[in-house]
Order: sequence, then C-alpha cells, then structure tokens
Amino acid sequence: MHTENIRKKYIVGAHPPKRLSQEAKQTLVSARPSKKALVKVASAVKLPVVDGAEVGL
Amino acid sequence: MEQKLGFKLVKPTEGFLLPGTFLKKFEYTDDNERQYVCQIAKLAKSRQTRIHLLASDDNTPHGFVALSASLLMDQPCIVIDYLFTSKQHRGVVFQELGMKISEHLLAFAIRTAIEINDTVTIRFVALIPGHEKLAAFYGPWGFRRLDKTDWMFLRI
Repeated sequence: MHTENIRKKYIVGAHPPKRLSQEAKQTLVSARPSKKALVKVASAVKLPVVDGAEVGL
Repeated sequence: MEQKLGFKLVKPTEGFLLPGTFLKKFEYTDDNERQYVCQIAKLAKSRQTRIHLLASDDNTPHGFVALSASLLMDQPCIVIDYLFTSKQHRGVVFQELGMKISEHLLAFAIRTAIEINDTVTIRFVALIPGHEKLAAFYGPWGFRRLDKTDWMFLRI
C-alpha cells in the first residue's frame, strides 16, 4: 500500500489471493520481466544500509 | 523544488518500532493514514513484515517501505505491504536521490527482490495500491493489474 491520500479501507498485511480467475492465472503465466522496471531501478542510487542502533533509529 | 541531502537506508531497532516512538517521526494527511502506519509498525514488531527506513544524513526518517514474503499462484513473491512518505516530503525530488522518496523506496523494493532472486527464487513483486491514483504511480514501473483482484504485480 502506498500512502498519499487514502480513499478506501485497506487491509494492512494482506496476502495475495490463493484463488485466481483463469484470466489472472494466464496473465501471471505469460508475464515477462519488465525492462521499464529494470531501467528505473538501475537509475536509483544504491544507498548505504545501516543498523538503526548505530544512528538511534 | 530540489534539495541537497545525503540519505541512507536504515534497519530500525525493535524499540524504534514501538508506536509511541515510530508514529512521532512522520507527518500524516489524516488519522486514517496514521492508523495504517501504526498497524504496519505493529506487524514489523511481530516480524510479519520488515521495515526499511529512508533517512537523511541527520537521521531524520523521510519515509519507509515494508516488505514481506508470500506466494502468488504458488510462486514466491515479495509483497510491498506499505510504502510511505512523510507528508512534508511528498512530491519533492531530492537531488541526492535524483527522484522522489516514494520512487526511491519502490526502486529499493524491486532491487531487493531481484537480488534475493539470485539466491532464492522470487517470481513477482506484489502490492495493493491504496486507490486508483496510486495504481497510476505503479504502472510506469511495469506493475500490472491482476484480474478481479485489488492486486498489482511485477514479474521479476
């Protein structure tokens, strides 16, 4: 869930549905990795990861 | 407006996830939103999701993404349980990041899934957008709607 302006009730921590329509299954089966995603991800600077204990968070 | 700030990703301590502490670090649009953040902090404290904070060099949290593992059509996936930018930082392109907080957190989530997939199979990244405006945010990143569900997914 992405928060900007919440307009409808949202269930935090939901899992993907176990039962899917035939169309949904077909969509998943035929899906391919997204070049768009890879380009955008590659353009994001890789930040250092720190333990919260080191920085008081 | 662009601002020069250094950033880092932080793995918060358990103490930081206590609602009394965690909630104070961010600004919210309304109480609904604050309640959702409270719920996700509780889930993180009970190890049902993992929160990754995006903080500036002065250790001010600007936002976070919460990730967990699940199954989609019996295949392993990473679920973006929550992606949040503190209200005062929304829509701002940060020069150090070259993008908005939300965009960087989403890139981090996808990159994490790709890196994990090098070791253990991850097939998809999945999420539920809060509303249609947010579905439009995820589309350009390659996320697609899953028929007859509220879910969107990205094939890794």
